[in-house]
Amino acid sequence: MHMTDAMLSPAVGGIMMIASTRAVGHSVKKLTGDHLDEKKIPLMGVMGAFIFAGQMVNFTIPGTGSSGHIGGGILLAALLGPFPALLTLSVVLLIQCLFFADGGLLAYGCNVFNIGICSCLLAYQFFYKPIIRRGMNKRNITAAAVVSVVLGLQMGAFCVVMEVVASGVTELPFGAFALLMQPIHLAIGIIEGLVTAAVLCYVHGVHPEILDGSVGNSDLNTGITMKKVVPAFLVMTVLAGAVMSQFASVLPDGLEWSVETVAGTVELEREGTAYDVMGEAVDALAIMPGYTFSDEDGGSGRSTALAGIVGSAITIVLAGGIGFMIHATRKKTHTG
Amino acid sequence: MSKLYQAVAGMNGLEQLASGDSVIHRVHPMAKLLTTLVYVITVVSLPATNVSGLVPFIFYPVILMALSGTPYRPLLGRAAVALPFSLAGGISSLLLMRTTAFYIGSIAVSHGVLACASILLRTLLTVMAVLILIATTSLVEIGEQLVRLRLPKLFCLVLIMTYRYISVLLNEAVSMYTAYTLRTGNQKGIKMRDMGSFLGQLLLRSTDRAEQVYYAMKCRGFHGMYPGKTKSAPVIEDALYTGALIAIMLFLRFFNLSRFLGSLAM
Repeated sequence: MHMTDAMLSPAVGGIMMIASTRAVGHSVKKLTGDHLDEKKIPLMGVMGAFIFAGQMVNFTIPGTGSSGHIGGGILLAALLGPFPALLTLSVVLLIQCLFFADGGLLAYGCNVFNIGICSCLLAYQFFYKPIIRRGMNKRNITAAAVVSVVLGLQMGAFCVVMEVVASGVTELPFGAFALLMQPIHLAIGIIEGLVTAAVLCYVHGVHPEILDGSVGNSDLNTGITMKKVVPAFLVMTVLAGAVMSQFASVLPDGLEWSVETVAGTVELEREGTAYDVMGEAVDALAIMPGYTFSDEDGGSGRSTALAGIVGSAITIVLAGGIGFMIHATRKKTHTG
Repeated sequence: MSKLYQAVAGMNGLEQLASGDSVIHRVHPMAKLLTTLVYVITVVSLPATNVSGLVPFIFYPVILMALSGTPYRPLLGRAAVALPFSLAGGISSLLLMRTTAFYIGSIAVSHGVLACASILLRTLLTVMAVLILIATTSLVEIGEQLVRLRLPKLFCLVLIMTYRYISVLLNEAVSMYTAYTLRTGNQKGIKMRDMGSFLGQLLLRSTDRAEQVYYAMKCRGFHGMYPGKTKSAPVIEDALYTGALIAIMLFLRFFNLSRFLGSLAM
């Protein structure tokens, strides 16, 4: 579910970065507010490393011939509490982004939101805790883990869909993309939920105080979590609004494209009011990518395109040549 | 199993590259961090079907890799890992954006082809930029700069500690996995029913390790922050480096160098 930069616009990436930064900042404040137990710091670091190691270990799914691995949001939240879990998971995501090219730098805010906030703050608070409050036993742990992991992943996957569609870089239509993402993540969620439940049941059997302690600690969240949930929902509302406006622009595009195919005229495509409205919005924001050739002279499209190709080839050769020359000079200086 | 080993080897490899010495390694970490951020934002801000405008941005990774002596093959290998996901988005553009952009001879090139190429190229460029940053700057130095950028100290501390202990725990996981395969007749992967106790054991070993780490750190004078690594404050050359690169990136963002060179050649 890690998003890359290429599918994202700077505007959407920026908004999600702000939202995630606020959430992680709030988590830090919660942890350092009343004197932070220093022991928690290496614990969070090592738990982050555990999630890393755990994600590398694949387990076989019987009957399918395929394998899967744990995600970690609910697992961390159940063991550490929601705020340390969010902090730890955001660190893991940053390391994955920097070292493993798993998720882009601009998409980091989106990934923290989709994978971290949806599971550690939302799913944990609304689904895991209420079930666990009924009693800490294996049945409740299993039910809580499966339900919260599945729903957390569904929320995260839906956010991915909204962010990609709102960015407008790809032509993925909202409906088809959602229909693709949600079922896949439902299957992944069930497997991950079962594994998370198995791990938590094991820990409950061997060291029950670990789970009891973390649920007890999260009493700090009562009455304060809504302050995190409301901004999160506001951000999702803004995104939903962006998606709705995308709907308004996509449909006329499709119609106009069909009309053009049938009627054979190009001009209809350019007359779309939705295009104008989106174009004005894009101009106002100044750096959102567009579909159209609006920034290139449409009149001499063919010759500029050809110049572009020739120029690109020249640029590639130049770049490669300069790189090679520097490399050769460096080699000479070091060995000579 | 090989995936675990590869992960450890890969991280160690990048860390060794970061301890090298070149003109790029000597640039202040803040300058490298800022230029990488601006590069990523600039590349991503280009219009979706603008491929020729993207191409000049190749100069940045190529020249930086050459100047820093970073081998291109391992970086390209890692960058290739990110391509399949972008390809999925690119394919949707290929299928849905069928209007013709221009002709090469008699072959029609659609907007979809341009959008797909653009997505793949952006992925490659942005991933390469981040990997070059990691290959020329250690994570401890990056963590220090993040603190300077007003990110919470706790976040940076957990970042550095997680990074430090990944290889420790990966080795722990490898030895547990070896023991498991020896006891289950060399089976590949872990059975679902054993996953709970396997991960649970790894988890409990992690928490025990965390406690040992904490006491060891306290014995060595830990007072809340990792000791600093960045040797010097930024100098005028670092400011010039940052300013010049950002200016070039902004120039390339708004002026299509490829088209200009092409029109000169034709």
